[in-house]
Amino acid sequence: MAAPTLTGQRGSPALWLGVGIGIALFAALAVLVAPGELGGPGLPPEFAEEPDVYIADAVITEHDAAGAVSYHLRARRVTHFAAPGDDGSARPGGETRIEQPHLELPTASGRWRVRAAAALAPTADARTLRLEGDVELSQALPDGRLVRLSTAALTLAPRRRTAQTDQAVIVLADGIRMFAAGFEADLASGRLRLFSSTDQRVRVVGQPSQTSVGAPALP
Amino acid sequence: MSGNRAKPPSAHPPYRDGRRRGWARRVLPPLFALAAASAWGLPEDSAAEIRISAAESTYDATTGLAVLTGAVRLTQGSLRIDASRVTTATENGRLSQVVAEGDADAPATMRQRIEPDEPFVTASAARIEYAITEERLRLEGDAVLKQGTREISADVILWHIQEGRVTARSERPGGVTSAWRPEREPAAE
Repeated sequence: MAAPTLTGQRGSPALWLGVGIGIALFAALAVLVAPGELGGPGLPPEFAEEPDVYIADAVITEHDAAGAVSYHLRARRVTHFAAPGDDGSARPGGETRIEQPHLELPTASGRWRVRAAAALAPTADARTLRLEGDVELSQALPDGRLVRLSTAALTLAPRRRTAQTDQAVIVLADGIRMFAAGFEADLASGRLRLFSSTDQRVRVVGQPSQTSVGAPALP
Repeated sequence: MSGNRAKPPSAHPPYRDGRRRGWARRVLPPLFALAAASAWGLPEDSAAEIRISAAESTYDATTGLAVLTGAVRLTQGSLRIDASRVTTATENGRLSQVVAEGDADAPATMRQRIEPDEPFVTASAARIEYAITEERLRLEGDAVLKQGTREISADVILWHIQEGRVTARSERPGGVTSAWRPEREPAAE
């Protein structure tokens, strides 16, 4: 009996193996040529811009490992967009957008209040927030003094209690005004470092504590 | 409101705190004509806004102290102080004290016009302490105060602003020196 050949033998295993390999090669080639068009089903187009999480009038309180309040956030709206996976599904990460955020950060020297027009957290856990639009940090100290910083944008790390910006900043503190090209702040200790730029030096302006004018000359 | 607020570091206790130092009893009594001519700068100076510029500043919200560094310049009316480092303190929402310090290369310097038609009073010292509330200037460390042809040098010069009085002391050999250099007579034509 002659050895079986591929030709003329319907349904032989070798034939089907060849067909399968051909289909697999075609599919692989198609993915390489047009990877986006062969992805998973994903969201229908009308939901492509919809967030994965949406909270209106959000009130969020985060506690640290010891149970103390790490920060308190109120916002008009919080939307979270999970990072899209390769198959179109949502994955952890992504970004969180916050409208009209108001944060409160308790510290040993008092509570810092932070507000802005908007904030963007590049990750879901809000390690850092990019605050933009009429950003204001303020702290009322126990002795009644008020410290207030105003800038156009800054990066805030709520857990680490740090803030920094390379945008122009105005600081009002105990009657004096400070102007700088940017600042770094350790909110836990209340220490600010103001720095200048090539075209803007740090300036401090204040009224003198005595305003007597011209005492009489000695004889 | 802020009775426990920190003040800039001071090498000596305040002059009026009752702990007068030995030198105070030996203070040279002369009322230095330099300052006696007028109390303190132009009449509008003491009420003028204080402006300070610098390369960098740190501010401690808890203590209210600001430290400015890098080619610092303070102005208040005709008063000008240049230093490498300036520390400011506030009290009741106003600047109450300024400490200007020089560095190894250059002392802190100041100048102010006493009368509109007179030359500037100039001064230099390692440290210039301007107690705004107490209206006192303290120049410490190779302190020199000049106006026109008159000059005084000492370790420490105290300028009691409201009283228009200057006192000086030195513990180094030579003590306090004062000099008056007469104007050169114009050559006869």
